[in-house]
Amino acid sequence: MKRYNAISVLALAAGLFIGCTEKEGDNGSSAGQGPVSRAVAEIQFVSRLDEGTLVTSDADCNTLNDYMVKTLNGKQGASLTVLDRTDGATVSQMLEISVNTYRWSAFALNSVSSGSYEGSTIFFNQPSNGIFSFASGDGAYLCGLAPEVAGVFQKLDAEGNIISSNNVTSAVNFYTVRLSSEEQIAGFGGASGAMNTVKAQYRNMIVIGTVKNGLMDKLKDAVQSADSTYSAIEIVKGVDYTVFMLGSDRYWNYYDFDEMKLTSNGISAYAIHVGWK
Amino acid sequence: MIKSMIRKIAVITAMLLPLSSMAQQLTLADWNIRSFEKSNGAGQTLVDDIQEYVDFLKDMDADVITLNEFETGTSRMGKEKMAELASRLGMYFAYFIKSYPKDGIGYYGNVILSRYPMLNSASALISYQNYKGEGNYDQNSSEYSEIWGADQRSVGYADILVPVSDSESRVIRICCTHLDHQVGTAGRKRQFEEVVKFASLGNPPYPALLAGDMNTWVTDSAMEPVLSISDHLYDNWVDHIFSFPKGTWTKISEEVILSGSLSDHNAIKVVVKL
Repeated sequence: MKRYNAISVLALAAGLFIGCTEKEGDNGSSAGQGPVSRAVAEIQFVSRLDEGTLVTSDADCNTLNDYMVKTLNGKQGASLTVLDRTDGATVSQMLEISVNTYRWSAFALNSVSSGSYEGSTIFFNQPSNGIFSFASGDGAYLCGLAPEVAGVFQKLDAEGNIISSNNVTSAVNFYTVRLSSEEQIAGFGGASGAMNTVKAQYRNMIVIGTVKNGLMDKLKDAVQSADSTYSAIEIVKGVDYTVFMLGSDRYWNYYDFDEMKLTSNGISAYAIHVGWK
Repeated sequence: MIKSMIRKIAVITAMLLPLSSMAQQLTLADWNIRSFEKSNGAGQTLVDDIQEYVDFLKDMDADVITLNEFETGTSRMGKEKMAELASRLGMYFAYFIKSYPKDGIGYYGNVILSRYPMLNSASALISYQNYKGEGNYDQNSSEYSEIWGADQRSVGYADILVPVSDSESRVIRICCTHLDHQVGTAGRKRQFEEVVKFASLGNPPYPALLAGDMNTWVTDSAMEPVLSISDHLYDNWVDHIFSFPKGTWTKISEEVILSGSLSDHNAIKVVVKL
């Protein structure tokens, strides 16, 4: 397993990171002075980050099942997991994993085109009151729900050492999307785009999705133009797609991610560490 | 390897066939599944293996199935039954409408299963008060049951992307509920009103169908909030299917499917088109 700190995006995330650490007593002292507190949660995002579906063989399926059942220990060890591009024949296998993990799942529609569709499967631990999709230009959909996400609330000393830690859960307005073209990004951003449509209801939304390599800067611009208090942060770039996180610095921080290569043919599990205020 | 490939081809074919055969018509089935409790002559017994239920539902060859009295994830169930049922039926898109938690680890409610992907899904609890206070969901007193019903009830819907040609899809709304069996007329009317309001059946964003065990008959005045804005497509005993808005759907056929010992309700099925 490899751990990747947010160094590559530190310039962008610096304000976000500092914004995420709540100062004890909120006395206006600068970060690094006195204890600070923060909430940290892990969201798993499993993907090939290419153009294909996640599962291409029984071996892939077995590996994913082992990851979900054994590595994550079902719902005991995870509260929100996205398996990217689980359309086609993979849909049935996701239901089997849902049964084996005792977790709920929902198919998140990513795109519809000429009678076929692509999407991801979101795993969560309680029945959902609602799963909603918002059109994002040229067949793409921003899709999400509000699952209970488990995390830890940490207090850190002046040197950044954790001095206390408590388990916490919070209902998180989580969305995912796959953006493959400039037209879809235009439909995502903009005054009446999918992002602002969701944001109008849930200002504390968080999006973890993928964008076609080479379009990350376009996405950043589209997000900023839709609302300058929101940022799209690059997490990791793959063969064809880049994983990103989007949220407002008022509500969310991005910390880092761990990569676990699940197969030798390109499937990785990214354990993405985020924090809410 | 060959077996595996055949299985995959079968799954892919199952997913693609409806796209090419065009869902110009839709088959909707509704059934109160009674928590997989099979009659044994003296009472009911929870089945260990749900294969009989899978076979019964599979024979309906429905595009969408709505189910009432669905218990899942409890210690006696062992598994999350909706995913298991959906997987074994080959209806890969499913939504659970929670009524209340059960047994500390599981849930009780309703289910929508679909061959086609869901664009949106949502559920809500129907207003309810238990004489024992918050956190109690069933076995109400007779006085409270008259007003609020015996048990906590719920309503939910799924907006389903149904293919209508090789290249086009259309969204329809499938709504499912199970209304109370002990609530009085005024309370039942309120429950119907809440169903209509939650699923926007008065002015639905998409052509809509409502199915479920309403625990009453079409002659009941309490049904007016639904009957006044819908076409009543079919019923058997207290199980009904309605369509919205009036005049939007055409019924091609209707059928009651005897469930034998599997449940105290028979299933109902309609084939409809827009």
